[in-house]
Amino acid sequence: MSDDTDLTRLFAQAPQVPGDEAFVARVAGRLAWQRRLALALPAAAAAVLLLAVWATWPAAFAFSRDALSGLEFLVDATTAFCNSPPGRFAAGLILVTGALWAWLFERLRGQIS
Amino acid sequence: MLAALGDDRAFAELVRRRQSTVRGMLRKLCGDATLADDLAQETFVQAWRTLSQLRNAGAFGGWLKQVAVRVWLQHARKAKLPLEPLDDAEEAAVPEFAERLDLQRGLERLNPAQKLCVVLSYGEGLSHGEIADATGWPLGTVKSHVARGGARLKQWLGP
Repeated sequence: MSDDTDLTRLFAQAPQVPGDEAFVARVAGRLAWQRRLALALPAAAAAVLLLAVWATWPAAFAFSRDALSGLEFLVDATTAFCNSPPGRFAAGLILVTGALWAWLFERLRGQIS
Repeated sequence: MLAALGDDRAFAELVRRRQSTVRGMLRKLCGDATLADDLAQETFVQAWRTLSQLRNAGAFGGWLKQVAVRVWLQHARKAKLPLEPLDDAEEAAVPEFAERLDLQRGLERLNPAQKLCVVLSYGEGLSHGEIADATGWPLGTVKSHVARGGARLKQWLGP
């Protein structure tokens, strides 16, 4: 072998793999299977969830009620905080910080570009 | 590009046109036609899943080769093939062969990482930078694999 072109030529002379319709069909089959799986998985997950809820109904009901009442409490508490003077001050501070950050970021981007 | 929009017939046409390249490249890497065809199928399935990430339809050929390289590397890691660079002592310990080897037998005797770099460089015409992108290896490592693997292969294939 004298130089790299000899290796390149040797690779180019290697027998080519002929086109094969059976290979195309096998790939198409696998893709169809993947698509069916993608459709079936969410349905199967929902069915398992429903089954679990049905099998553990009293406990599931109590858990859902507690979770929702916890969420309701959180919303009420956040609303009350935002309506109070410290809450208004904090909301104002967040807004001003955000505006300042956006302004500085724009200036910085202008300098970079 | 219809295949990216989920057109099955368009994607099947892509498979029909590109299968020879992908299967040929993987056969050189695997040395086993059945395994290479399995990995080629996996390449097209992964390409189908991630086709929406391809920005430039004209770059499909190069992108597909990158997917094939990723699939082969996944297989190599699962099969625990040695992908780390050889140190100088190991490099020196690679046996010489009295008989002249053909290309496929020569490739089979190369270290897997060197084989991948040599096939991509000489067989597929990828630049060192493109190989580094496809494999995730540092450019220096790729250059070393191509140089050492290429030299060894030339030595085995004879004058």
